Amino acid sequence: MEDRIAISRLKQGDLTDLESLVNRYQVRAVHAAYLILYDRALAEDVVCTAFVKLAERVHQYDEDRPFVPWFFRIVTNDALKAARKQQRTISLEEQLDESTAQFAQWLIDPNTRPEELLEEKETRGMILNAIQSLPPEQRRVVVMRYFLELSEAEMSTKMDRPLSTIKWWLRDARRRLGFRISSSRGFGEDKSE
Amino acid sequence: MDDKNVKSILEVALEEEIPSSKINLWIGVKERLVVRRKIYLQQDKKMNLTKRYRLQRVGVATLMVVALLAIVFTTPQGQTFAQSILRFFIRTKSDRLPLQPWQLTPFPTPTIPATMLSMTNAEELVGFDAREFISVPAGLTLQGAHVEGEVIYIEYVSADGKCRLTLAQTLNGKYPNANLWSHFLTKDIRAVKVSEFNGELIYDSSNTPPIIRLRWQQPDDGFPPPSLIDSSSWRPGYLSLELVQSCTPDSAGYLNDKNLLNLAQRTVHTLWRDSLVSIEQAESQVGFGTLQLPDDNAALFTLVGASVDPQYRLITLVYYSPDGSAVQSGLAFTLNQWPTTEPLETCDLCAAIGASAKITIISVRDTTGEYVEGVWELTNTGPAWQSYPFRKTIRWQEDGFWFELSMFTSDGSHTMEDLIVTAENLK
Repeated sequence: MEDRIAISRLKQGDLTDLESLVNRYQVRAVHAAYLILYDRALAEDVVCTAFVKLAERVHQYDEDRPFVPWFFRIVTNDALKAARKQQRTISLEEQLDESTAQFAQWLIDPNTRPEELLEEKETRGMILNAIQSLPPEQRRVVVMRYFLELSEAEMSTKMDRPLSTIKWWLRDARRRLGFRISSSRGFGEDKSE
Repeated sequence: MDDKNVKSILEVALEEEIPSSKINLWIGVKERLVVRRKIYLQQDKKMNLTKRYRLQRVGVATLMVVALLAIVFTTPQGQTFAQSILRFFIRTKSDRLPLQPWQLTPFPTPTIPATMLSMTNAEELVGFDAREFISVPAGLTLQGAHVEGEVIYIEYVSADGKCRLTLAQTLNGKYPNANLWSHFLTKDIRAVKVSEFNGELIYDSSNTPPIIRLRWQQPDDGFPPPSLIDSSSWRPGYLSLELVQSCTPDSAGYLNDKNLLNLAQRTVHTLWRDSLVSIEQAESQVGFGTLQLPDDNAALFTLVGASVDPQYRLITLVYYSPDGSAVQSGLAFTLNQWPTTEPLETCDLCAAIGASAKITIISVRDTTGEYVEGVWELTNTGPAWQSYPFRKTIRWQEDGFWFELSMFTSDGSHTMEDLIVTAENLK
């Protein structure tokens, strides 16, 4: 409801409530952008720009639709664009340690239960590294699916891509992580295929 | 482990990387908004300064007006342009502008016999801009025009008086002399092409001397016009034309259907269309590559050609509906691209929109653009802004270039989204 009031005022040219929207979503937005960019300054820059775009494009926003996915689509789109420019993807041939590999194993097969291995601070950092190892496009789908918790159907709508494409992207992200597992642990087949 | 667990693990990891307490973007957002607003204002101010010193030459070739309204920017009336913060269009203070100099200058016209009307008077009577030949056919003289109902007849005669040529036309109506044609036998009517448009030709021997009649339909005028100002006289719909040649047997032009078809072509092609070149030729002239519609969009649009305005290094691509059915569907668009080192307004009314024009800020090709609907209509008292739905335009800036995409349909059925989708497809 607070979002709706803020958006309505923004549409009337009143920027007063933009600050409340910034305060409400800046952390989640910066974190989402960071997961794609792995550069804090750049992530904050992207999110600042996204809020400016929000103010400028608010007339295009349909108030009957939820605000959060609409706004985070801007954030992830811009982060992806910035990431493409950065080309900071870590080589897939780089070796992972075992903890990261187990997280990646979970991405391939959610039935495994590696969470006990994910409690250590060090391990969490490794998770970030695992995601960073993906190409920017796949980081984006991982962020949307596992961080923003969009369903595959929602992702299909927001990204204007067929559901089959989304599924393929996610599967490919898992496959790439699977490749890293086999590199680091000598595992055999990619279970996602 | 389910998705919720992953999310919380990621949240904790990210909180360690970038603590929430360290994120405060509001000041940065606020500063950017202020800076962007200043840029808008500076751009607008620069545009107005540019206008004062620019004088666009007006080119007129028989019917086509390549109009430039320099006076709009050099006279007090020119100051009516508002200081808006629009980035790609310039809003005027009024929907009406003063009569333009080139409108005050009459075109050279022949002496009109008392029984004839001038073209201007005849067009006023029928209420539309009639098509004439790009240049008067060699050996013929324009005698003038007359009007019967909604049909305008333009009369030409040869110097020796042995040949007469009549170009008759109606806007959005039946063919001239439709009743007469209904009496012709189908087997005597020959199907022909006038440019890409279907036509019919018949030798009418019931007259003395016999005459040739050629009729066809085509989009009403300069379709689509290349810029906002040139579209001012554009109307949705189609013209139904008939070209009638009547010559005595000792005339060189006697029953020459080939010449008649060639003449008809000259009412179809406008100067700007005749000057279209290939994209490669245009690109070599402007010195940069242009965005264009990939071939896989051929089902919807076909490239007609490109043109260049060397003064601004502006390249224009023209696309039609592929079946050549512009008469019926009217579907077409133009894409203008020129460097941002050149002014935003490449002709004086090209970026100007009426005071009442509604601007919509749009998202296009990952940037912000503007959308407007309407044209400047040329009237006897000066340009008047009309929010016609038939022409819709978007503008945006990308990689150091201005872009303008204008789309047309005769029924105004195309939408803002159609323009955006088309723009998104450009590569």
